[in-house]
Amino acid sequence: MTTRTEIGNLAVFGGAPLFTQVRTTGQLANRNPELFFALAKQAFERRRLTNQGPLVCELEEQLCQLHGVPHCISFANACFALIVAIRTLARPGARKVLLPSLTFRGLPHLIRWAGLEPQYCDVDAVTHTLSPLSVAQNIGPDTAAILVVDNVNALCDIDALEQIATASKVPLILDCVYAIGGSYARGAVGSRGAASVFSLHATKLINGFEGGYLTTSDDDLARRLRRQRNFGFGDNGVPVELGLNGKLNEIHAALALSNLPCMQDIMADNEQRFESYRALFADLPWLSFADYSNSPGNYGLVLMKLASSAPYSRGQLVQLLRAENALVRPYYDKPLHRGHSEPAGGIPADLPVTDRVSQDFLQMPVGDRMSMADIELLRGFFEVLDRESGAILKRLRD
Amino acid sequence: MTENETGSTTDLTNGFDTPLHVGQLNLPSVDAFEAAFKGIFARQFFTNHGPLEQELDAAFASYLGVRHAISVVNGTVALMIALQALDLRGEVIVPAFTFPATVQAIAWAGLTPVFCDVDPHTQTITAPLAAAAITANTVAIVGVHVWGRAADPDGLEQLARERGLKLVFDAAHAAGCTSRGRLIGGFGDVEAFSFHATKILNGFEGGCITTNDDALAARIRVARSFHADDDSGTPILRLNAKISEAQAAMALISLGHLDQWTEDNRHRYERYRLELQGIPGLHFIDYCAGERSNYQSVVLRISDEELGMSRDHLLQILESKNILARKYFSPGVHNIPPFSDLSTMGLPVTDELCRTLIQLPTGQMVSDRHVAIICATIRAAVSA
Repeated sequence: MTTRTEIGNLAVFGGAPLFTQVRTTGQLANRNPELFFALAKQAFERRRLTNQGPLVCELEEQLCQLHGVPHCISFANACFALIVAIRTLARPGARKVLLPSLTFRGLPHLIRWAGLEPQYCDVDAVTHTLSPLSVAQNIGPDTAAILVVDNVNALCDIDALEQIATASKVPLILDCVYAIGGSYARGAVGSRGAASVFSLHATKLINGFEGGYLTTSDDDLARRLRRQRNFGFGDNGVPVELGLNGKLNEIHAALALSNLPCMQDIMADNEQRFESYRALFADLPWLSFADYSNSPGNYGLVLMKLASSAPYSRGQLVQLLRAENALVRPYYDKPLHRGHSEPAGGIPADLPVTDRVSQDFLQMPVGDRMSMADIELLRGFFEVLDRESGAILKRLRD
Repeated sequence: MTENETGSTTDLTNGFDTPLHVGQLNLPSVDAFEAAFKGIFARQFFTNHGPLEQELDAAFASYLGVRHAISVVNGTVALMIALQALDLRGEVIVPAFTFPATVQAIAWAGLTPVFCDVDPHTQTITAPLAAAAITANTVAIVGVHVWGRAADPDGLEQLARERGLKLVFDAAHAAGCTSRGRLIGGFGDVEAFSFHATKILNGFEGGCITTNDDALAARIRVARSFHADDDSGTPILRLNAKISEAQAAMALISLGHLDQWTEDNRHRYERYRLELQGIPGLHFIDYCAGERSNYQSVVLRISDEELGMSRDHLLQILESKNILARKYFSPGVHNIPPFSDLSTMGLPVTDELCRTLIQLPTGQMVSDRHVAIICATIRAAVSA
């Protein structure tokens, strides 16, 4: 790590980067490797490495308890959980799945893997979650499902969305990847809607290398999804419906099991980092943070907001910070309805709030690689950015 | 597996205390596993196209002698992504004598399977059989290298070329196997392997797509995750299909043991042949002379008349002794939902194979003595 006194020392201009090792926007927690190796050794001794082994069963049981639900079905990753859930729950004959545009760029692809089409709705200006008003305006006879996304800074308005879904007899599926650990006014995250999907990806709160799971209180749905993740095999070992290989393996489950007991500690550390960001950057007038007052409390992402008075564009800040090995990201670079990475056929949408919000936020480095001292270093770096903005911008342009 | 106490001393036909499975389940030493995983933890690089994924892709491509190997989360997804990347609409000719995932992948890719019967000797589709199933709506053929025996790649390549069809191979069984001396992996437009724990290359779960087509490889690399920007101009349907560093580590270790594990499989296969010699009605599936095989499956065709009992009766007897032999593949995929709704013409060879084949336990946990017990159990059953 180096300090910056002259702008020539900035990495973007050829100086050594602020961080010798990258700082990322992912959690990358690995809190108990000893437990992981002990569990993996058990798997080796049993020669049981996949196909719903005892570690996967144990993980599913612990996750049921965490979310207060009767069913948890693990998957190779959250994408498989969403594909089979959307496909299974979709209203027969209907084609469209309502979802926000300000979200993970994979979601429209998953909807298409499920044989359906995405239809984007606008988001709330504060929570950035699906706007019930926009959903009510877009829902119709061709709506097959609503895919709601809970955000790291705020949970969705679940009561209002459930009411709309119930009135229209449309299933509500929740992407809760960033909402683990949270609670709605009524019920824990994972206990509402027809099904909720979570991730065990290394960058998320519970690291299982890759992995995901779905929670539901619907016995029949649980039975069908368990079948579908294993080639549709029925009890007699013969497929009874279309399935795929969506299984979580035992070694991924072992890592998730080793990290799961540390979840509260990880959340507490994240909150401390978030508070540190907030305190240290409070005096910079062109920066603030998203409203976390309705957050699930895991602080898995730190969303920094740029004011219109900011001397830099978001793109310039990304360029400056990434050069320093602080791998920040726009949140989100392009909202999905403006993107070009999706196969043709998306329905054009007019989403003014999404368009506005999608310009403002930056994901800052977080997770277990990011120390309090690192945040102070970043603050010092911003001090230089603030003080020398004229010269830096000139040199960037040159 | 532990043998029954009595069986280990006096009677070989009492079976096992715990079940004996058909899968390979080959494991490296715990030390090798721990060393690899400590490396992952030191790098804090758990997934997302890490160094082990890249090493695996390079090593497997080099081993097979193909331009591109692209590892993914499992073998089914390898086929799904490969088919999707070909950007096809229409019908795909495929055998019904295969694991259901072959056909399920076709359905997930938005294509319609059309079943084709298989050759009674090779148990794979052949060019003449596939040619007879081609219609105006056919866009591709998916051959399956069942038991690692090549599915007529030369004939099917010529047919596909002549008829303007794409050619895909399900190579889940075929790591380390050859066709006319050439390793499977570079035939057709694209091939898909499995690194499932029951296969000879064990990545816990895992799969790999291999091709010599640079443009197709580029599309598949984009399609297997949401990481790269898709600037192709014709955006492709994508999926989180990444292989993790954990899976890649295990698959790499397995690749290093491939020759040894193949030799161990061959030894077990020969032991079975020796121990079951002379029993009428048991016909081993041969591995082609002059070709390399991984011998990961020990498969026999049962002749009811000669043996005096049906395949299913023999399976029941073995199961009662904790010998979990399997009737791969049964029923044929043309007889399972949702594909049983397709109006499939008769597949007499497929139906006969589904009725008569049995797969016996093999893999690292099956010792010579285990083979002796299994064979003694079969011998006792048929002579009872």
